[in-house]
Amino acid sequence: MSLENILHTKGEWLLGDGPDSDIVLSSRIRLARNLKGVPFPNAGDYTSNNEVLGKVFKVLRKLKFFKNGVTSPLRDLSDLEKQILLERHLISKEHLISGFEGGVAISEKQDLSIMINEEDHLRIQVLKSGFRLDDCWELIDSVDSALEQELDFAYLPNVGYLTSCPTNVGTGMRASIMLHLPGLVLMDLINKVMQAVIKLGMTVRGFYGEGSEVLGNLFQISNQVTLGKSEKEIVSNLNRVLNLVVEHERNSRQLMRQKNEARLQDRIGRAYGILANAHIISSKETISLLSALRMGMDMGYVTGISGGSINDLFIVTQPAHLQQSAGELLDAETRDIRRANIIRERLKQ
Amino acid sequence: MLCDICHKKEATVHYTEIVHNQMIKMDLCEGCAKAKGVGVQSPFSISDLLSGLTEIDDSVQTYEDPVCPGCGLKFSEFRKSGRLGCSDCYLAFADQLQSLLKTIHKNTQHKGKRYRGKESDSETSVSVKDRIKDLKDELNKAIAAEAYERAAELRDQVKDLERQLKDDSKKS
Repeated sequence: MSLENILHTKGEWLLGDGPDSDIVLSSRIRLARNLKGVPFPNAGDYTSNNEVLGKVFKVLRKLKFFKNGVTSPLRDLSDLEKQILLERHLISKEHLISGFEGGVAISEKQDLSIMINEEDHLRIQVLKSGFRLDDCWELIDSVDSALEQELDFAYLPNVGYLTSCPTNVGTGMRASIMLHLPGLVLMDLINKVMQAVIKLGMTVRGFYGEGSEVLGNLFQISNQVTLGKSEKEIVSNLNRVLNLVVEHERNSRQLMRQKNEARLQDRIGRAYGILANAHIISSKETISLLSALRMGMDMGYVTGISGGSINDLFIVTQPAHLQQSAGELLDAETRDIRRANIIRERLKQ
Repeated sequence: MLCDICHKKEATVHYTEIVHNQMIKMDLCEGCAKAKGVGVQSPFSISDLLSGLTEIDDSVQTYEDPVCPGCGLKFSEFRKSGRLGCSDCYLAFADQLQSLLKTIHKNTQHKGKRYRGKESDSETSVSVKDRIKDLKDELNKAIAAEAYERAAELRDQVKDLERQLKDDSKKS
């Protein structure tokens, strides 16, 4: 399969299915791994980084996990293609700008991707729709075990997997969940809940990870500590805490329904009205209105739209995806017009 | 809704950000948002935090500046960048990193998945045995010094490693 095909198919994590998918958009686990005795990407030079890239690609191309998938050095991708991978969360922003002879491998279903020469030699990532951290761990564990048969990983028994940044050492694992929490935001309870989550040792971030702002009531919650707990402990801690957050969100939605249904319906109806009729719309406005629409759908006020198609709209209305579907580079205003067209079309169906 | 800053113009930029674990919500007009630089703020850097941590930590404030034999990175350079250079840095800076890891992770002992690699791991089992011996020495010292909290921690680490050794010999 070529990258072209990947870019034209929807990733599995956008399907909008899986447990608690009315609140949990996606689950993700990533593992950081490095090769023994080779400088980390930031300390390496062109030759050493390039050797890592070649060596890792050779191994990945043999693995069943990447059958029909894509492996490519970043230098062979256009700026637009890289931007699309970023908008789909298949690669990170750091990976785009670091310039350490990076590469990327993506599985056919887009649920598994590996960044080569990001901050670490390998960043293995599994992304699934809904609340499914256990499934993510199962898959990524088997990928990692297959890789360690072929690659010498940097590892010490007392501190675990060695990483470029000591905040990742040990398991090298970051498990995260993308949550849609409009109920807690509207009821002004979000700060309280997030404070509690942070106290329990988790980190909260926006839609595009580290340093990104909160858009569309979407929050990413992940483990902070990577050393001293096993992978399964990390996952079960997150599961326990996130189950509570999901429950609080359900309660807030219920409370809004009981206390102020008219206001709630008005908000959802207005969002729907603008999305279905606007002719010029920015990406920020889109995300916040889609959030209201998604809530309306999850609460049964809006029918005839699937969660998956709203998830998909979050992605296809991002700048690079718009330009890809248009087949040309567009300026901001043309993008806003095209974005509005796509949304109107989708909501008509 | 009026802008939170000038209280005159209609707020069109609705902005939420998490700063120092506090969620800040602001509704701003276009002008004030621009003036405040909303949307173009540089992301918080983990290395800023790390260099902060190593500076606070007294035990790291030594005059020595060890150099990693693997990649030539100096510990002082790591303190600036927050990034290590290669896997050997973990051995070269083991003492300095110990206290840093404790601060970041509240722990210094890996409990997760163990790397097996393609070869038999007779080498690792030797190093695990060495490590157990070191820990036991330290444990005795801790007990002698009546540092019972530390002793309990060490005892758990010894137990974990002994279990690990047993598992490994079963599997090979």
